[in-house]
Amino acid sequence: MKHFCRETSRLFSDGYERKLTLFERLRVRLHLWMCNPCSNYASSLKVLDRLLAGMRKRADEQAPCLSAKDRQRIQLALKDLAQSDS
Amino acid sequence: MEEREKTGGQDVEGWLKEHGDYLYRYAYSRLSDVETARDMVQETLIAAWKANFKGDSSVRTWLVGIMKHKIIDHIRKEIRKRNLHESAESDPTSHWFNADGSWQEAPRAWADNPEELSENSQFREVLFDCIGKLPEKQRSAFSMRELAGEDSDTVCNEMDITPTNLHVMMHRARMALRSCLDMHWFGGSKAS
Repeated sequence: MKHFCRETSRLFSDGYERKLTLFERLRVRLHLWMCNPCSNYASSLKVLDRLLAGMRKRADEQAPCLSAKDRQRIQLALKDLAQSDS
Repeated sequence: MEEREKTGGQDVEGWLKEHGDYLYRYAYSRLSDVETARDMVQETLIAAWKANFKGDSSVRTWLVGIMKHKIIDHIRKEIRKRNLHESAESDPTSHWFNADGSWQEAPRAWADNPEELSENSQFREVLFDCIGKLPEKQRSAFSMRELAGEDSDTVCNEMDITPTNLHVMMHRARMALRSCLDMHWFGGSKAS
């Protein structure tokens, strides 16, 4: 018997990238209704999507900064360049 | 100070001080790799030092413009380097499915609250670790789309790929990330 879990997982991901056709949307909805593992997969992608949206919202407060060591390294590279140019 | 004079008054050290963190975050949100992000800041400032700021826009806008090109160059170089290797691979999502198209191991439902989790620093560490394990192309595409919030057209243009390529990469990235997070955070048994 042919299962559509593989195709459905792809279509479900595509749904975040493009508008699915009516036929694709119906196919996904019908399969998710019948298939518990795919339904779990779809809900975990929704969790991931909401997580990432939350992280984008707080991107500035959570964003990494250049370490003092990195700054020093870049400063040295810029100094080396200035010296080699002179 | 001497260097500033030689560059026609371009305050490159001042730019590092004022815009360094911003540039670093910009690069990190597109590359998800701390070392490469740092290198991009360095390369951007070196290129800016060699160029001449004309004052048509703000310094930050000008520096980001330079950095965009640096990041695109880096990604395209990596893609060329890995193309041969990656194209020879079979579809990496195939090991999650049986030949009949069913799951090898059924995914479990995740119970956590995403809004709370997105503020959890330990979870963020695990997530970034999982993103860091993705192959370069997928990592760049995923980071640009989901961390930097760029639209599909921008990602396709910057990476010089077709929308279909992008959809395949995003599908593979989501599949691998879900599996990695399931293993390292949500307590599942199957790793990517």
